[in-house]
Amino acid sequence: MNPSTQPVRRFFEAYKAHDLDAMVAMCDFNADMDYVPFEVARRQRVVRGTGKVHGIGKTIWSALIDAFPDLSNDITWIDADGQGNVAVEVHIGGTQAKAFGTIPAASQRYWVPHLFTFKVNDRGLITGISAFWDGADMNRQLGYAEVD
Amino acid sequence: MNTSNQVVAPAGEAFIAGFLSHDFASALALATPDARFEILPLGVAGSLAIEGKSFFADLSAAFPDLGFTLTHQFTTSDGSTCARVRIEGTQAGDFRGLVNQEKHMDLEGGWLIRTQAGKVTSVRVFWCQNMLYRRFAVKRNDQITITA
Repeated sequence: MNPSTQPVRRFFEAYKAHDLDAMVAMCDFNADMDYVPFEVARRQRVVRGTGKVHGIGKTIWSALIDAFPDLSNDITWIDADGQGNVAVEVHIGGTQAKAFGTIPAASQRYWVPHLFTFKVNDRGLITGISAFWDGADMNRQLGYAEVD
Repeated sequence: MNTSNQVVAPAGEAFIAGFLSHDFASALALATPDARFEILPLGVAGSLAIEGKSFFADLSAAFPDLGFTLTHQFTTSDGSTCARVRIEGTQAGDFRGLVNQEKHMDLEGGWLIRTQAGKVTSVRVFWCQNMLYRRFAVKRNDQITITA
């Protein structure tokens, strides 16, 4: 097993356990975060899921865990190159108990495939996280047809 | 004996290079005859030779100034290539249910190319359909012909 995949596996185990501190502890203090589909249109600007793990990362993950109390994940494939780049195919989902962003709670469950890429440094810390998934699929499963 | 010093790109990276240079035939030549192609947000799941070719033809026809930008890629130890690709273009025709509004769109996605024995066996594209809908002012994902 490529050693770069180990901190990423531990990251998803911590995510499954809703242990936000452990998730963040797997990341370098300055780790970058880019949740590409995460864009929320406001009146004057668009809020994107791009920033730092210790900022927007913690905010998004804690909001997801709060809105989906049984939030879970299942890694279906993970591999890495020799330079600390890790790719992961993972399903993430849960049952909605509270509003999440503009999506009101309708007690529906979502389970959506994601593609994550991570960058892991030589100290075994995650320095970058990017993720892609279909937000329309997630919204549909939650019973929400509005695009925003 | 191979006397060339030329480094051969992994099959997945060569596939992406062919696709990005609008040479779908060259990309397809790197794949097995039964290679799979999936863009689940578009409801596309089938053969690379048929559905993949059709997707590329439809996209090129609807967006004549179509451009692709590769922002990051790496190939893992099992030969899978993970690429981050931005698609841009100005709409000049209907595309998969999206009526032509002559709007410019840009859409970033994650591409996962799986290979076996140096041949592409599947291409899976992860993007957010709601991001695409926003570019075309679609308000509901169950009524995509109605725009603002």
